[in-house]
Amino acid sequence: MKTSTALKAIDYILLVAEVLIFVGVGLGYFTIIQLLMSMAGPEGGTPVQPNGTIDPSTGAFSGTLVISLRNPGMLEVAAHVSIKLNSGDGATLYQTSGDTRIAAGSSGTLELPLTLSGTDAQRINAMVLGLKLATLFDFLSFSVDIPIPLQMGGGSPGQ
Amino acid sequence: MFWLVTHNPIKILKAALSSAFYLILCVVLPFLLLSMAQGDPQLRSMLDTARSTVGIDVAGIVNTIMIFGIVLALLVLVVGLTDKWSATNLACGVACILLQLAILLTILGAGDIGSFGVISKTVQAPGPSQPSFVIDMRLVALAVTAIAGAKIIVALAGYLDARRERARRFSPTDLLKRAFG
Repeated sequence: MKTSTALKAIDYILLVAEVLIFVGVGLGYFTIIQLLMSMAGPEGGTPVQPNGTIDPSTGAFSGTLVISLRNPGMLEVAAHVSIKLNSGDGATLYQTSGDTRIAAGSSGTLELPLTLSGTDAQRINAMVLGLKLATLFDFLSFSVDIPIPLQMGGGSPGQ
Repeated sequence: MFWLVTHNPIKILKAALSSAFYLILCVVLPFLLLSMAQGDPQLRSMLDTARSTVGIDVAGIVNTIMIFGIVLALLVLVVGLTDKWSATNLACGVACILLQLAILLTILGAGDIGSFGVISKTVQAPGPSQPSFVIDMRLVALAVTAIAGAKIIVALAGYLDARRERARRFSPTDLLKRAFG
């Protein structure tokens, strides 16, 4: 094969690789946007639901946080969810996280254990929901930290 | 420099078409899309929201791409009009590859080339909670940079091959062979 022909062939292969990368990025963006919209949409419901019992004498909570995610996109998504419960002075009272993989067009549920003593439950002032979505063989990732003010017991937001 | 310019009409046509392709792709199309978006009230409010709450200036990104696109189209024209063995062709070819990379990194970094595919923003939302998000495309940026590097090596190899071919074609032995069979 002539050198110029081989170089032209390599050039075309590189062009195809570049186009494929951008098609992949487009699909990845589409998948992540679809997943976020399904969480925010009216049919998505609340993505984080506490499931457990509160001890009436101490006020302690013991149970799980159930996180439901739906992936209407076109690529598999690796989701990492973290939850941090903070007190009014900024101290972290409880922290938990978990991972799950959701295939394209399916749903996934993540159950994170949550155990809080009565005093900690009273001090909770805010929750920081961290969500990291990675797709396209982890070439594209989106992470968001959403601080949510809470009012539990005696504490009030902004205190 | 004019002695390097080809007189082959097919090559001139090909160069003009390639240049026009880049002009349409990187200048005309983004301009039309931005004009359409600014004409539509809903899209215009989305662009304004993106700028005020997230700090992504879509019009600024499009303007940057259009400026790169004009320079790219000119360089593509020069590449098409010059012979492969000329240094001008190599220099403009490498500049084209670097400009294409700059355009891709501008898109990946939402206007910030230096971020190398990482978009990190805090949403300026009313109220106490200010969500922040990060879109990480470093691996994509790395892949497109590696491809650009490979393209530069291919361009350099093509230049050396064209020079070798030209030297062989115009060598005294070759000229004598052609003259006397």
